[in-house]
Amino acid sequence: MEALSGSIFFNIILSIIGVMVVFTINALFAVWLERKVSAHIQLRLGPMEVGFHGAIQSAADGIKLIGKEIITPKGVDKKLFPLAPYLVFFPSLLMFVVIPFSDKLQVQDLNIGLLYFFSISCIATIGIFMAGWASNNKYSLMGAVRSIAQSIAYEIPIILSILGVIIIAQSLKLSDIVAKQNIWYIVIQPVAFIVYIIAAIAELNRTPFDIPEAESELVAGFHTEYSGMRFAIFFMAEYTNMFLVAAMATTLFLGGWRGPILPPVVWFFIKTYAIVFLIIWVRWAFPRLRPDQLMNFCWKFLLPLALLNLLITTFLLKLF
Amino acid sequence: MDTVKEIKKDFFINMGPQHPSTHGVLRIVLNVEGEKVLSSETVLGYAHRGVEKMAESKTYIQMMPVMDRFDYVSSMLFEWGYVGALEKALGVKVPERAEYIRVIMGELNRIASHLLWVGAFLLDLGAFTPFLWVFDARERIMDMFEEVTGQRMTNNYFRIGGVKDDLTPQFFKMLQDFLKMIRERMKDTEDLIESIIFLERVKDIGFISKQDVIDYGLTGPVARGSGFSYDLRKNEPYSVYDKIDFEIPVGEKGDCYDRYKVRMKEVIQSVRIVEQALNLLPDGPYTEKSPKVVKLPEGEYYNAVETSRGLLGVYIVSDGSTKPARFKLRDPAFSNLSILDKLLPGNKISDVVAILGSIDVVIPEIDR
Amino acid sequence: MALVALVDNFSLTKIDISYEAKGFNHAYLLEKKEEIVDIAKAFKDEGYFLETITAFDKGDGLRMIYLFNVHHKVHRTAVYFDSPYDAELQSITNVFPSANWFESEVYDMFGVTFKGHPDLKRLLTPEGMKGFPLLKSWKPEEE
Repeated sequence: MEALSGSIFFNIILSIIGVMVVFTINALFAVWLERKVSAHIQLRLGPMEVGFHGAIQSAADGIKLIGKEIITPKGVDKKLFPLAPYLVFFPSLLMFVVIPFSDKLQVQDLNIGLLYFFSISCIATIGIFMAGWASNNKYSLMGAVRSIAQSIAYEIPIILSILGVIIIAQSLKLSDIVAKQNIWYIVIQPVAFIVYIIAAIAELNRTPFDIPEAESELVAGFHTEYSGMRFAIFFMAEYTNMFLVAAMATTLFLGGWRGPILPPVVWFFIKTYAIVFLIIWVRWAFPRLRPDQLMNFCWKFLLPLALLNLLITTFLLKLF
Repeated sequence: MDTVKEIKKDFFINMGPQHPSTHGVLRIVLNVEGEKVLSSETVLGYAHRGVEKMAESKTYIQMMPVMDRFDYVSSMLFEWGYVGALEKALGVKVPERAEYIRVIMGELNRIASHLLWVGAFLLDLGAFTPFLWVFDARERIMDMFEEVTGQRMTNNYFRIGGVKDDLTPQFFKMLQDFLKMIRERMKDTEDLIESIIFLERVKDIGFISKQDVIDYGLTGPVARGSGFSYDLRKNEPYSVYDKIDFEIPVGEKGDCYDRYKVRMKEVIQSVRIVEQALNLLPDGPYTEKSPKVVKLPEGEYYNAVETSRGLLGVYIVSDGSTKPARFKLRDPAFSNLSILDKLLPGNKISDVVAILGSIDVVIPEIDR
Repeated sequence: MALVALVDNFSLTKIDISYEAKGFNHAYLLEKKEEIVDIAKAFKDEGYFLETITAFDKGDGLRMIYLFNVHHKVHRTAVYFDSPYDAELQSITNVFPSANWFESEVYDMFGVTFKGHPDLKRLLTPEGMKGFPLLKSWKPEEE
């Protein structure tokens, strides 16, 4: 909110409110969208009772979860067990800082915006391991270990895929990257876009990469022992991350908030939710990969593909 | 000071008896090292109801509804086995219309069982959508059963000498609608299921060789997936199956994918059988007059039919009274499950689910 | 060894039954119970598989029933022999691995043990079960 007012204190308050508003609306909307899309794919209708076509269903579920008893199993680590959900959740809020919702709506346009974004997202991995370890449960631990291996492995193709964009735009500043997209970067870097989306779905621990949460194998993975509000926090973290990943894809590949006629903010949300819809669609269409297949896919396919893309990009840039 | 302790790297994981993937109350104790299974032990008996002992204090008519409760996803096929044994003993000839009705209902049961299997198999692998698509088709079959027999599952429909009630005109209408949509639904479901991810999960996993089929007495789609063309409807025809034209699909390699493919093709073959049976359905009585008191002559009687999981044998020893002296079920899933302890070692934990799913077990049938 | 020579080589007597009434094509009564292993081997050599092993309490002893079947023709063959209660019979697990669970079930229900069985244990009844349920002499415990 740089151009809105002079007082820094006022800016900070406005930013906090803005982020909380976006976060809350996303949590409510994205959950509803997921339930409706999955229902229609599966020949059902989804929530219909609460509100028009189930519009306030998510709010109702949130209120219910707040009222649930928080069960702490015996033998858990007393300090780490309650801390873990928050460690998974707070990095998501911090990542909102650099997202350019429009040319004027961005909390802080850091010079190293991209670097900041992807660094903060790694902190959540520590939280996941903390949850698995502190639960004092064989299955949670196995789920956490698988999840960490997956997160760390898929970071590399993500970074490599956006390196192409960085080289073309010659900047890490997100507002610069949007400003330079007279042609959307998805046209110039289609391979990078595909690699980014696939690796991002893996980072989110969603099907087909949802081994850490695989219900039919290890009950519920690293968040098995969490109930009530703590479980809700894990849940919200996943949906917030989904929004953030889609927002980053929009910014880097789909021209951010740029678009004719409609106000920039509206374009931003349309593009972001189109990517969210794609991510939801993929979840309900495919079975899940085995852990070793998952890792093979990352190291032996995505990584070489991203490297190849980088090589060709730099080569072509040098030529023209 | 250096005392080197040998660190045991393997540990035991317990799958079940309460577990989303074990299709009932089955317990598998796995000895794993990391992700690899070293050995496994199947523990049965959680759903044991002592039916074989119970049968010795019940009359033959009283045992009829109990036959439904073994394989509840395709109950009429088990009833057929039992009723066939009684008819053999009493020398009752079933009228032709009843035979064709039995074929139609039996094949619908087989389709329903395979549909449920496909949904559950994919659900274990993590794909949620095919489950709902096939259950929609299965719902229509359940509605048809409710129309004729009054119940959706565990129908208690077969009687000595025929069936309980004739088919209604509403049933024929529902059947025509169903036959129109099922082929397309199966094609859509197959297209949805067979992505590269699915193929990677099930191909080249859980090989069952032809020698294993003989050693372990496997029957049904598990045996046919390994290239063994053994189906009682063709090899030992009973009822009117010799008048109907259909094929027995077989696999080649005997991995999980072949068993899946065999079941999918069997659904289409069953649809063919139902269509032909509908055309050939004659008029006439739908049942013989069944005796009020059923007393089997002294001796032993054995009847084998092909259920959706394999060869079912019903063995009754009678001492001339109204109650059997010995009642034994040779159920297919019992033998099919015995190969699990041989297949699992060397595979990964995620493959355990795929292999167990491809064998298709229903626990009450095994535990009796 | 061809199956035709079964009667000559072992102590089997052929029982006359009709397929329509009984459901078996052939049935034999065995005199000496130890020969069951060699008989099973003879069947296996011809490509037969073991359909089931079961028993039935006659009142003065058990009658064991072994069913063999082959897939390329209709030829279900039953081999019977009599055995006293609490007998120790020969296991045919080395010949047919499927006998593993069949024999365990017979032990569980009737109390006969099988010599040479790799892992004879109670299969279906709960842990701590006393007695063998399918014997006529078994009564459920009073609560």
